[in-house]
Amino acid sequence: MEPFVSLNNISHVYQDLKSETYALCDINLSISKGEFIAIIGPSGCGKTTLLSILSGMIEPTQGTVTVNGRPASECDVGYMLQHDHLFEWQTIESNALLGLRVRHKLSDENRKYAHELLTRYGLEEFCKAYPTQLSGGMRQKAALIRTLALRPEMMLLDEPFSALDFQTRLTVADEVGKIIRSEGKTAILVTHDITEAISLADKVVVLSKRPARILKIHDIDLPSKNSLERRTDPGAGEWFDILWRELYEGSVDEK
Amino acid sequence: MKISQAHEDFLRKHKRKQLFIRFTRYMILIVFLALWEVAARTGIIDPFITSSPSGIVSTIVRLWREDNLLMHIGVTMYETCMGFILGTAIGTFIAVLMWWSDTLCKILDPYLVVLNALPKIALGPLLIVWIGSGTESIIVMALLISLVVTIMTVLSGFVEENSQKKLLMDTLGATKLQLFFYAVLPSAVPTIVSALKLSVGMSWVGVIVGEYLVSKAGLGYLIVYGGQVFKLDLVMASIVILCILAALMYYAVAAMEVALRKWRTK
Repeated sequence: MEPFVSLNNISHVYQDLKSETYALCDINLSISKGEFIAIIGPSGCGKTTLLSILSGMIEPTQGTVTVNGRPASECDVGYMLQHDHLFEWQTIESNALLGLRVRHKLSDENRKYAHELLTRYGLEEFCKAYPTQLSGGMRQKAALIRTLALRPEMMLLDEPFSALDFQTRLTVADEVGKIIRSEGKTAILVTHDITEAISLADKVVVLSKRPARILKIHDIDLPSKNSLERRTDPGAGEWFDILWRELYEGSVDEK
Repeated sequence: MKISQAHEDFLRKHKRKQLFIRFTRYMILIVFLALWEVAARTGIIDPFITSSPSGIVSTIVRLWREDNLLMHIGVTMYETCMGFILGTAIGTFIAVLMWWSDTLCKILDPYLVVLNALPKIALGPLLIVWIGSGTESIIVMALLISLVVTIMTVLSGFVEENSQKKLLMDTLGATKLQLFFYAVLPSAVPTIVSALKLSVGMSWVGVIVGEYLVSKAGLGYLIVYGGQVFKLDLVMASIVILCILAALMYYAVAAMEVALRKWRTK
């Protein structure tokens, strides 16, 4: 089967006044429809660059990206950032509609869909509330709905839970994981939390330090799809050891 | 809803404190005016030099009846409002251009720094020669004084926190125009409001200085005239009116703040 997302020989170099920075080196990756991929790697290795390329926001120096058979920049991609960036002067409802408004897709049908999402994921009673009245986890869910309302073909998650406190993080990661699965979205999560990667993803991609190469791609074969159950699965502990060692070796070997 | 005893006590204490603050506020003014009046009447101070509250009041009444006080107020208000509106409008417009083009911002930066440091009053004689000794020069003076402050404050409001919001808007595929109207402008509303408040004060400075230099009417004119002929009642009366007008205009801007904040929730 033709992969849903394919990255072919992606390399990327940043130019600045003092030097060139090699961020990515020869990345090849195929992702099938509906798959949940986690990308882990040492900090500063170019994970976010990879997401920016996948979203079509930046053109790679070399290589091509196709999503659903088209170049990435022509696709509807949902992007979730570390901070929710909700506009504090607007209600949750109009925040959720922001993406639709920006893309001139604010039809009655889409508006209804956004409302359905807010209702389905427990934010209905906060529709008229302002972001400051919501907890960090709730806000991040509202940010997720802001992107889901656009019916993206693929979700990119750039450490979306790292700004939350530990407890909220577990529940929100679990909820967001469930939401993305139930909406049947293809998702790519960048994180430096190994356990988070194991608990959410079908596949974990391990990157080396900069310039990032793919060190390994693992199929995480845990029986449960529930992230909280996966966290306590004995198999998760084994995966943690494997991934941790690879990350460690990947970040020191070339020094 | 039932209120606990402790909460009731707390509320009462709070209310008493608020009352005390308001009471003291008025008392300071009343005691000050009373002492001034008494001192002037008993000859402790010379009312010819210091004027007196009753003297100020009777001067205001006389001005109203004989000297067309309303016209003087009107002239000064007109100049201030024009200076304020033009300064804010042009300043905000330039700030938008500078936000839009990073290159333009860098090109203009040293000019702004110099213009900000320059005491605009030094330009007074030039304005008189170039524009003439009328209302126009005074308006331009007020505009110049408020312009640079407005540009700098509003621009800082646009730039602040901008990169984070830009990232979000980029992920949503927003154009630069959308970035500005959805994210940058509304998030800069508090800064714009404080720029307005600054610029009101600056416009008053510009107008009064302008009226000192030229002018045949207006409160600044009355003050200078009163000083020259040693009618200090007239000077004091004009200053009191000026205080009241400046306060009113400040509250008008504060009312605009409410309207602006409402606008951005749309």
